[in-house]
Amino acid sequence: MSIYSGDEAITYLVKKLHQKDEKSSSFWNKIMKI
Amino acid sequence: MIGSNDKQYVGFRRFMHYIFQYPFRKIAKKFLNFDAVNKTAKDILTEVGKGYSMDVLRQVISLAYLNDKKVVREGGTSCVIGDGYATMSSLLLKNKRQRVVLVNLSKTLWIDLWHLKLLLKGKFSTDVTLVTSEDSILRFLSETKDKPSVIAIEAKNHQLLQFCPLDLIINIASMQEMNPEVIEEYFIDMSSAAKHNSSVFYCCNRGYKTLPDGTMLSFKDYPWHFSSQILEDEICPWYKKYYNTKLPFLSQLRCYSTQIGKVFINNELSLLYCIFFGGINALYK
Repeated sequence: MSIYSGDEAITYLVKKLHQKDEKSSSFWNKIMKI
Repeated sequence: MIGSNDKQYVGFRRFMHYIFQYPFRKIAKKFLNFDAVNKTAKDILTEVGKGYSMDVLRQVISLAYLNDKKVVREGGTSCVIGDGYATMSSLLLKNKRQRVVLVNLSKTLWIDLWHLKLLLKGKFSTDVTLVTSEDSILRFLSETKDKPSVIAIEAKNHQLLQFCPLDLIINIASMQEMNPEVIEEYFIDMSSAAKHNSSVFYCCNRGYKTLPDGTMLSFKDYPWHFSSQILEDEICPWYKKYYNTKLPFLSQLRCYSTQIGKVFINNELSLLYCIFFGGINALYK
């Protein structure tokens, strides 16, 4: 998939950043729950 | 990243911001469209619950200035490279009902989208789309012709800009954070995009800057040879100073140059630009 609408776009970016930035995973986990 | 995440100002804090912002608003008043853009900004900030900071005011003045130059088309397509908290994108969306192509680093793009979600609420799912390939951007562009919407692109996919029919490209305090090779890539993208549609590029960055890795950046050394015609070339009056809560409250923006931009002419991309400049008390003359 190469097109992400609305919340899908946010989820896509957060997931990607979460994967990239293991050190701050607790922060991203909190964000993912919102 | 430009923009601000301050909560709404109330009471004395609001009053002090008003006082400090007064000289900048005085500059802005000469732009016919300032009051309309200012009102749009207030509505947006009320909607998202944020304060009318100096960073926001600068964006408002920049858009009023561009409106004054008649380069922002109602319902047109603009690109914002390196927005902050989606401030400029929101203004273009709400003030000019534009289709906005928003390019940013993944982390800041996420913050931009979050602010757009706060602003657009229910419309966020239909009006905002992130694209990662040529096919998807072409499809989305054809589906959203003349419709106010946001196309988000991660900075690593910036070459997708080449497929966008852009009327206006805005870069404020962002190219000064990029390496020269990346700046050149963006100019190539803009130049390609301008083949679909005549584009105006508004570029407002520091005259000189040293990046953390020691790379020296100079505004005059940007690859201006990709440009065609200079519409305006000046030192940006609303970026000469800033205020803060520490004495002496007003400071000059740090910069390393008194260089003024030059005019370059060829056939594809029109440029509208100014540079940050450490003027001496010019604001209050």
